[in-house]
Amino acid sequence: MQPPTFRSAFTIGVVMAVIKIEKLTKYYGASRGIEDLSLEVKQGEIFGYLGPNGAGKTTTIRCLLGLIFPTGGKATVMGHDIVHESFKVRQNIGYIPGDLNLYPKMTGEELLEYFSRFRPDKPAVLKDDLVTRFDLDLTRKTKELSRGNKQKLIIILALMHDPDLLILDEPTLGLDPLMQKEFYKVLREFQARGKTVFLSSHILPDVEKTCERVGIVKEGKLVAIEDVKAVETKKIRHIEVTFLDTVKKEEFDIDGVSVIQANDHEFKLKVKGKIDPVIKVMAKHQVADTIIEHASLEEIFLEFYGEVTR
Amino acid sequence: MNLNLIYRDIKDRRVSMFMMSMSVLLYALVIIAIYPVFAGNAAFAQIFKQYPKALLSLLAGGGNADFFSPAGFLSIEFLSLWWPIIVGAYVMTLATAIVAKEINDGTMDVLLSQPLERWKLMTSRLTADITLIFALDAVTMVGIWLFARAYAVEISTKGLFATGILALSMFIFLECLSLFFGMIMDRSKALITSITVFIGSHFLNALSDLNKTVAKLRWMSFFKYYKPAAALTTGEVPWKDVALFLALAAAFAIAAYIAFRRKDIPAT
Repeated sequence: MQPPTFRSAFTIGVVMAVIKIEKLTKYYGASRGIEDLSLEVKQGEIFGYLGPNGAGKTTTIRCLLGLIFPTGGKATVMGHDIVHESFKVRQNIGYIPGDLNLYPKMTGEELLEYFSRFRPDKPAVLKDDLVTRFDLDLTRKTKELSRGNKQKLIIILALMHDPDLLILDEPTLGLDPLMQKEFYKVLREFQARGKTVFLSSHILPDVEKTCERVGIVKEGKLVAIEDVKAVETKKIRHIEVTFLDTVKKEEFDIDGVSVIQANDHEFKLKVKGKIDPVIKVMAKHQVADTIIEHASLEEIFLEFYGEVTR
Repeated sequence: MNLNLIYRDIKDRRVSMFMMSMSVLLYALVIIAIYPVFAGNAAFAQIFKQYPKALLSLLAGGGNADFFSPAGFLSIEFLSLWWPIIVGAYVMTLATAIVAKEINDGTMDVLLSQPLERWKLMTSRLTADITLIFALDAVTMVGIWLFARAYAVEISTKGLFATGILALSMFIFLECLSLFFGMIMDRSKALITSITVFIGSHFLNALSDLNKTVAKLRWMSFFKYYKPAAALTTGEVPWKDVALFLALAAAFAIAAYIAFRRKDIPAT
């Protein structure tokens, strides 16, 4: 593992803020991107950045990478100002964009080779290992690759030079569950070596799997920074269950559970927080069928964070 | 300057460059091959005299080129209009690909997330394009030189050299102009604007011979400063015109960089 290369502005011995955002604002003409957004990401943490589509997650990331320029506020990444020292910021970052666009005529090998030459001082030390783990054929042109394989290629591209900070925008899109599992394993290995991960997603379970803290963004504003366990309690699930025997509606008089629709055998429930008490009630009866779905992030936000930005 | 980018750009364009070179050479060959037939035929001279002045001016890009001298014929039939159009279209395509195409294709995100300064990106790609333009210009002039000797057409080496230098400066100007358009608008708009300026400039120059009011605006046409017939005939490089093209190219390149330096790269 490489030692941290951050500037002396960050005191050794104290946990360093790898990303420090202060009142960052970005407007696209009259339309809002993000507004007065402030947060800090500590060294060695996997920080989840959660919000529905259009909330401002990608805008934040693009500002951090110098792809777009903020209209207000400031931010530093590894001690470097994102506007005036963008080059230095990008020297030690691995980035997975949300929109997957690659050079179609290049093979995977050519693409990795091409991009590795932009970092002559940071060789692609993890390339071979990542190619093996993600089981990717590098001889094929990128235009011939499936969505999932393209995603694997961009993951390898972002991680192969072993950067100190990973900025990931919806990184598991298109990956099959097995590869998703492998990806999160890789992230945890990065974390174990003192690396920092900024993981943006609109899928709550994805964030829960790996992150300790979660920044929740809605309509361009940061509405909360929560411990991931606190987010767990704010989970909403929709359960449809069909029983073979007769079940009384009163049995579901549980804190956080609302009965949306019921007859003697079929129930539609909305469960906020822990699901365990509901499962225990269901287990007392003969279950013919059940469907459990996670609520959309929009629904969760409306339920728990609706008041904050109103 | 980033050699990685320069090498990649040239490599990516080697096929289009080869095709373009072959097309231009074939065209040059046809023009030179028909000149001896044309020059020795009195009937052609009679027909030519009946051509309206407007048409001749349009073909020659303004001015009074001698249709029956090798230099005048080559200039009117090839170097004044059709060759600049063919190569100009290629140059505009190259220039708008530097930034605008990458943005349109969505590949700029990954590229600019690398430790690569924007000025290096722009200048490296510009260098790659200018290398290709130089190669195309040189291939054309060498091709004409060889074909002229093969068909015993008198075209001076010095004249071709002078024309090559003049044309190169004009194409570099066109490259930087289109690059600038590519920085401030999306690729299709940048291409359309570049083509409009290019064609408009040619018409402005050609019509200046026919209308006194239009003639007052001739200085605005960059074809006024591109006179291949004179360069071919005298064998002298029109350094003033070359300097003007290069100065304008530098101005547009700087303007392009200023626009690019703080340009928001939109998400696709």
